[in-house]
Amino acid sequence: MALPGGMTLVGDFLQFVGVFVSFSIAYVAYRGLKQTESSSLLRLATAFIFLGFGFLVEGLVGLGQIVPALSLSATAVVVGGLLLETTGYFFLAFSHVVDVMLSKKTGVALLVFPIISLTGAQLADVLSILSFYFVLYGVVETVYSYARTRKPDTLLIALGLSLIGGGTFFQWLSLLYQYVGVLSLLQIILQEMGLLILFTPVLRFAMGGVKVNGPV
Amino acid sequence: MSYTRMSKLLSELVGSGLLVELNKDKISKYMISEKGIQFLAAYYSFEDFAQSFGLRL
Repeated sequence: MALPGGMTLVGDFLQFVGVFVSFSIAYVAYRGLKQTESSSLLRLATAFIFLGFGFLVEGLVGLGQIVPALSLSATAVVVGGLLLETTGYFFLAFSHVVDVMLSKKTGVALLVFPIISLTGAQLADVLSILSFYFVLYGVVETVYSYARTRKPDTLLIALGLSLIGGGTFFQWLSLLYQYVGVLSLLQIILQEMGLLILFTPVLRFAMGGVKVNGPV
Repeated sequence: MSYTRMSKLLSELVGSGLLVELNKDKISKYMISEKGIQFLAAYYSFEDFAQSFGLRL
């Protein structure tokens, strides 16, 4: 997933922005978990912790291209980062699956909605497609949730997830066409735009100034 | 809600400091405590946060 020339630095910086956003969301979800003991927030926190570490590993791999002393270009490390990312997207999708099953809606059928043909032999290829599938499922369920609650924030999150989904799609393409450097840059840009949108509930939560003296 | 279940819930809420029990003239009244108000505010905030991601607490 090499980027040409100076775009490497930009791409790497954006990966670390993704780390910050993911861990921020995980932190707020964790605080909510401690207060409410909600399993939904547990899954949300878990999802973004995995995503954060996935972006961190990918960022460090990118840093290795700029600072040779920190080179981490081993395939295992790259695949490890993708695995962490895919696990995060899985937990994000899984949160919606559990939510749907608990409410006994027929929406479980939406699980098969974004049917993608899996091709290719590389593990990274498969993980990228799985990420794409999980994110798309998250988009579908979030839009479905918006139809139920009519909260504008939910639609905004769906947009953010869509951009992340677009990013994971370009990530898959960049693995197939490794010499087309712009694909990796598009992946990172779309992913970061999506993550920044996902950061808006964190900002609103922080500005709300929620304070509780100790757990209940 | 049955009286037994309500009594149990009230007991738990008073025990966790979210409600304050006021006994006067052999009549028990319950009032939300400061901690209870803060907890409700936090709960609504986290509920709003979760709903942004299309999830429910």
